[in-house]
Amino acid sequence: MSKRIMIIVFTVLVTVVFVSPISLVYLITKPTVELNEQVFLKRSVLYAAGLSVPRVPAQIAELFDTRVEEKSGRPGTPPYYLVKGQDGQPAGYVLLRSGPGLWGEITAAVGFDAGLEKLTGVDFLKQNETPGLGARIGESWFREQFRGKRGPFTTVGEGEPAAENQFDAITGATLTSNFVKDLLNAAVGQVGDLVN
Amino acid sequence: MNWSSLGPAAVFFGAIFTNNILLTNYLGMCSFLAISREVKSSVGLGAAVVFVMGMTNALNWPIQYYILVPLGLEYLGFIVYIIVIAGSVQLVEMLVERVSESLYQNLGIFLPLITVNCAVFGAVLFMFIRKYTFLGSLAYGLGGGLGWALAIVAMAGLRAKMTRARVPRGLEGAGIALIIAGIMSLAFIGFSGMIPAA
Amino acid sequence: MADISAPVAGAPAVRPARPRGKAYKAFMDGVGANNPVFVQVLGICSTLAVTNVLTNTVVMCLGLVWATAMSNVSVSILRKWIPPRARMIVETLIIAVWVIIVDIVLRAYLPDISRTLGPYVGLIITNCIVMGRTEAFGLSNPPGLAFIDGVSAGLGYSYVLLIIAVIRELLGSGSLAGVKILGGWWTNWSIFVMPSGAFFLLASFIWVVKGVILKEQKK
Repeated sequence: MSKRIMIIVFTVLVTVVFVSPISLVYLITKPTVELNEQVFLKRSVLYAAGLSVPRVPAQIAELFDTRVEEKSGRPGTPPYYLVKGQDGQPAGYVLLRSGPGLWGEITAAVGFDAGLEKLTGVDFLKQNETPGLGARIGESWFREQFRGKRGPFTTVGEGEPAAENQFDAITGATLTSNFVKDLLNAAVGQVGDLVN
Repeated sequence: MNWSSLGPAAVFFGAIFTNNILLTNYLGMCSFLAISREVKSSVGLGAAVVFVMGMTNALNWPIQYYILVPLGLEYLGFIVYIIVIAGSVQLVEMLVERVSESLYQNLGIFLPLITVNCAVFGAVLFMFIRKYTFLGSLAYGLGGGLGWALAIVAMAGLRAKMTRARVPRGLEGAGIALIIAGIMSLAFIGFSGMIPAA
Repeated sequence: MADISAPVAGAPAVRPARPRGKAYKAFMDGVGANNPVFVQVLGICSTLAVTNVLTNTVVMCLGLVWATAMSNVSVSILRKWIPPRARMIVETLIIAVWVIIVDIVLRAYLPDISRTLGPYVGLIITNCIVMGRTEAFGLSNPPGLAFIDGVSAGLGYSYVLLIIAVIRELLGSGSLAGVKILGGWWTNWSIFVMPSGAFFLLASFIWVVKGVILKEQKK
């Protein structure tokens, strides 16, 4: 019996001793991690808005603060971002929209022009799709193709010419491509209500 | 918390077929390669893993969302999950010893090794990443375990048949097991249409 | 050039070669004769999962070398006090600590890679290689040797993974580390991006290596 107690005591002791350095590293890096999250979000919103995104985090924050304003929608709806032009006038909107993917949630920043007709850009904040297949939605060719397009969308094969309301899916990632399509169409359907 | 349009039933079947934790996520390979020579011990180990996975998911979910997150201690998550897994495995060991002494002897070191089975730990991590509900997590644990068990038993059956085949010497053992796993993995991709896109 | 191993007049006849020999052996063991991946067939899980993109593989390998080496050293330092019955759980806890540190550091300084690797960093904890080394070597050897053993097992794992990753990413996506290398004329062999391709590649690797080992044995 005392042997069991010894084992438990030892295990607890080891855990406590080792948890301390972890906590230390965690606390030291906590501000950096939070900053990273914010910069990540700002970067995506700027990209979706069609603005050219600087590389330096400080510049990203600066650009965001001057050109983008977070607006809360009606109660029960998520906030959206108003993008201002150089002159300070509304130039577009960016919506954050989440939807199911193949493996987990996909969260996208979908940017619209001022008339809410065409997309200014799409960026993916969160996705856990299959690396090398579904995860290719993060690749720049896939995201870039949405600029100037108009939803609701249907898909065509990868590499095929796509009309204004179509986009290239990813070969071998049909399911993920369809999830993205549904997500974008939902955003297109929702943006009118949300913004006005 | 329920982002997903997938109910627990879909998660359950998905975990067995379309994202089989071994054939799609590659988790749980080590004991898989070693024990899958005999069908009987594979079934026994598979059952133990189902139990452990279901139990650890069911326990870790409330611990994460009611203790770790409110206290801001998520970074200690890994340690907590491991301890819960170790506890569950101890429990299962005691059970197996009571129920079937021969199976206990047969499985030998592989029973306590479930503690470090990547599939069990992976199931916990994935359930948090995918933000399953409690029932979804339980379904994922049980389904994941069943999927793993399915893969291991099928593999054992195939390898039993192959004892009479002429396998090149360089491929004997791990090599041929991996090729079989590769073909099984391809076959399971055929299930991917089973869960309709939401 | 004088033969440096020849005994020098007045010096002891034989220079003690044992510590150096042990270290060398420990190192070569992990990389070659006892390679964790293709000889012991351990640590397969992450081998297959991350090797479809080269960058992820590099980060994973570094993380694993770190975790294996540091865990081996920690276990070695504590080896006289670890109760035998609890050793597996204690080893796992020690490994967990080092891996959590890697995870936190990645999140802070390489957030994009951390996001891509997802759960696979945490899964280093249950990587059979790390546990295997602490159990087989760390428990019964001094910290210096344990460190070398950990590093070598990690390196042995790394070079196998890197070879597989290069093949998988190059043939499966036409790129390396995200940089497109093969032009439009290349049709991606998607099988290499999928799990099956990884299984087949690893099996081929083992086949080739075993073939070499068997030939050596015949001689």
